[in-house]
Formats: sequence, C-alpha cells, structure tokens
Amino acid sequence: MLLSREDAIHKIFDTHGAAAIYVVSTGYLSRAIYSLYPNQNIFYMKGSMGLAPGIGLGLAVSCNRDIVVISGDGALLMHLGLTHTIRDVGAKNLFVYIIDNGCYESVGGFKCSDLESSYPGVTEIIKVQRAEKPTTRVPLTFKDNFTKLKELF
Amino acid sequence: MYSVEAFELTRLRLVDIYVGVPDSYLKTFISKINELGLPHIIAVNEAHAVAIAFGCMIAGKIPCVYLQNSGLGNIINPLTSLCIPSKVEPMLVIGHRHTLEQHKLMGDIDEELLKLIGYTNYIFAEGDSANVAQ
Repeated sequence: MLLSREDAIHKIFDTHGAAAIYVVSTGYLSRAIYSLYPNQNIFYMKGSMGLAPGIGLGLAVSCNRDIVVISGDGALLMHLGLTHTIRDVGAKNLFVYIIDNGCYESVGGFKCSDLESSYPGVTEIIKVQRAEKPTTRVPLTFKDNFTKLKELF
Repeated sequence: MYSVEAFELTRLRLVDIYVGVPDSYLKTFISKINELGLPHIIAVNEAHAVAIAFGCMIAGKIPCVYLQNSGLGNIINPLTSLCIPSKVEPMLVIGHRHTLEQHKLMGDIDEELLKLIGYTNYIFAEGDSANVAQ
C-alpha cells in the first residue's frame, strides 16, 4: 500500500523538525506542504523545475543548519546530474527526498518515466498514490517568501 | 579580459565560493581556484551551478559562477525564474568562445542575450593570452 502524499510529507517533517530549512519544488507538492505546514521555514521554489536540490546544496555548504529538499520524480529526472554533484560534495546537513507519484500531476497527470530504486545523493524516494488537486495555492508572493527565507540567515 | 584578470576581479569582489562547469578559455581561472584551495564545486550543468550559487547567496556567501558561453542556454531558466525575480544575481564569469564554427553564433549574441533578459552581473573572459592568439 502506497503512502498518501500527505503522509509522506508528515514523515519528512517528523524526521527533520522545525529547526530545519526546507526547499520545496514547484507544483502540487508545494501546495500540499503549505496546507500542512504553513509556518515552517520553507522556500517554495516556483520556477526552475528540477533545481531545488541545487539550491539546497548551496545552502548546505554555506551554513550549519539542516537543509531538507522535497522534490518530485519528474523534477529529479529533469536535472538528474545534480545527484552526482550532491554525492561528490557530501554535505552531511543536506537531505533530498523525492515524492514519486509517477506523473506530471499539476500539468495534467501525464506519465513520467519510471525512477530507479535509488540514486546517489538522494536520501529517500517515497512512492505515493496519485492524489486530488490541493485546493490551497501557496498564498505567499515570490518576494515575501524570499524575504522570509533570507531572514533565517 | 584574460581569464587571469577575471580571477583577480573575483578576489577583489571577495568571492568566497566558486561553482561552475570547466571551459578551456577559463583554464587559468580554474587552476588559480585550485592552487589557492578556495571552496569550489564543479557542477555537471551550468543551471546547477546557478542554483547552487543562489543557495550560497541566500545563506550570506559571495559565489561566482563560471561557464563557457555555450552554457548560457542552460542557465536562461534559472536566471529568469529565480535570480532576476528575487534580485539574487550571482556573478557570472563566461568564457567568450567565438572562433570555431559551433561557437560563432553564440559568440555573436551572448552579451545581447544577457542584456535582453536584464542580467547585469557578468564578465566575459577571452581566455589566456596563448589561446586568444590562436
């Protein structure tokens, strides 16, 4: 039985807690995370599909805090080579989770190429059920979200 | 400017981490980073280098992204969707390749491309004196 998207998100936030800084990928994933954890330290990366792990790596090598990246299967594949750089750098405070629903959900649910069971630099791939569209959009403007993130440093 | 001058400029700008994809025009630039043992991440794609630099800047560091101009196509998305809207614009040091057939078109338009999207924090390096003379 696959986890629901919400249960997968809870699992990650339960593991890393309120002190960590989260970088979350574009699409329904960020909406679902906002609806569950509106007050956590989260950067919602709205554009730049596939590059959330890169932002996470830059943060991780520049500070001592735990950096948790949550991205999707399609986004991982778009910039898969990043996983090698993350492995090479080996930052101990960087954690990359992939929520794998097997499709490009927010643009129409089209099938995504299947992932392998693991990748270098990826902490865990969590397979989830296809889910309903989250009703809440992330209400933060780009500027507000960004300002909030900068204030953490 | 030559790549060694580009490197000196990054020192004046207090760059504390270098991220990029290697280029022969920047051979001296990259060798200097390594000789001095400065923090350095070699990325596999220029877009990754920009994303990593963005993260570094948010956390208060001064990164420099280096790349060959052929990599400009790869960074248009993170520049337009991430760096420019948030005004977090890492310094780019770009090898200005333009002599060989496959580099000519990009060599003609690279600076115009950056001007078109409104990105201002870049310098072009002409390589080392040896390969510019070729």
